Amino acid sequence: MAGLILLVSACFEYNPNQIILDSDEKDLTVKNLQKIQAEEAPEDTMRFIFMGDTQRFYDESDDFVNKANSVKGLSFVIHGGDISDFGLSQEYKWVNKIMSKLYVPYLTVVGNHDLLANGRKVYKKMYGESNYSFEYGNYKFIMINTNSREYDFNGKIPDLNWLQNEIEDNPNDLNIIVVSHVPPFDGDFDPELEHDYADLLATHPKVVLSLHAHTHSFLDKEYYNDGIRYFVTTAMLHRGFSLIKLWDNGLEIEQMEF
Amino acid sequence: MKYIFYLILFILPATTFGQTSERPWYVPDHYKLQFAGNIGFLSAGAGYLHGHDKLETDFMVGYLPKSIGGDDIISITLKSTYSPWKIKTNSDYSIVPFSIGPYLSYSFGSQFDTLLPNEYPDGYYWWATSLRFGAYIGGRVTRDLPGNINHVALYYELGTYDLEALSYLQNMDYLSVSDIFTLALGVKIGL
Repeated sequence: MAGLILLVSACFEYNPNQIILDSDEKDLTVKNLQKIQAEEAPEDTMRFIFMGDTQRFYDESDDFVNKANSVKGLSFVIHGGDISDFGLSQEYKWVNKIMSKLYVPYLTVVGNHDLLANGRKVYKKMYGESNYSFEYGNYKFIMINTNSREYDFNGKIPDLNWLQNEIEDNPNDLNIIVVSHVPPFDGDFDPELEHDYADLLATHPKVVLSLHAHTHSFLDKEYYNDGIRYFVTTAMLHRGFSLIKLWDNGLEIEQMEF
Repeated sequence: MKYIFYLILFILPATTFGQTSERPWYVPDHYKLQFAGNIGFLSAGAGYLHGHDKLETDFMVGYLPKSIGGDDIISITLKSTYSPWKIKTNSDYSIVPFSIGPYLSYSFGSQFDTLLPNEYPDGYYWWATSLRFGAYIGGRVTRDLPGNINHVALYYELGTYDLEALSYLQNMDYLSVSDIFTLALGVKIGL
């Protein structure tokens, strides 16, 4: 009977902007983090995939999952944002269904398209907070919302105070990777905060990498010549993603195609 | 739910005009109450018949309560339904086996935009988040009635909308037609 009700309710849609999620489509950040941290981090090299901009490219995203599942030894996958294209819960659901076929859990940062229409509320309900951090192995990952244009460049996005606290709150002296959708050198990042962001990362010796998506192309360089490596991964549309290998005192990023 | 009450207040006087021929031109030819169909959890509205009674144009006001849809959303919708064939089964019942129509729906809310706000360069986002254009096919069963109400019909519609249709057209391997079409059910009261 419950199955029938579920089947019937799936036949009806009340508004494109409705936010109706199944219980296994809620609080995925917390749930997936629990799954990730239930597994011991590898002692030598940790591997994860960084990809982004699934948007409305489901065929490509599905192919990505097949390819990603052939990569051995992954601990998790990070989606660099623009999960959806139009901010609709239906899109979030389709992408989650695809990403749930990965053999490891996935985490996300929020992208500008994810904040459109009711997307902001959908992200919160489906994933959770848009700024969060977690530790795994010898690394601390700081996930932050940098979609300044979606907040009309109000000076509060990205929240650099929060970022600074997260970087400084590092009692185990872990290496730090900061992950966000819009890179600081992009026009959609608050220009008033660009150099504060870069300086914040550069002045903390444990920060090793700044990861981004959004531009739909690969970029890998010390953008500000300050010792911080900035890496941007391409979009699903262009059938590319990145394999990141981390060890105690180094890392390697491989650009992959599918 | 309050607005539905107002809508009923607006509808009631119209029904008291009785015979079709005595109705002033602006009094609607029919009223509809619809469940689902991406224009509200419930939507109610009025419409006119034209095109040799094969075309209906309706104005609907829809409501999705937060308890059901995760957000309170009021929407207004203009829809047209073309029904080329009508099959009379016996003296009381008739069937419209096939209907087709477009709709344009506007959702109210500060999170929805019709024009691109100033903080974006031209063409940054190409669609309006407040407006959805959709289309549907459907059918109905009608029962003729004696008295003031001319007939009552039950209808269904299978519909989709621009953004979902585009998603399907670009992903025909992963998505299927059933992923983008959803069902609406409704009652029509004809005067």
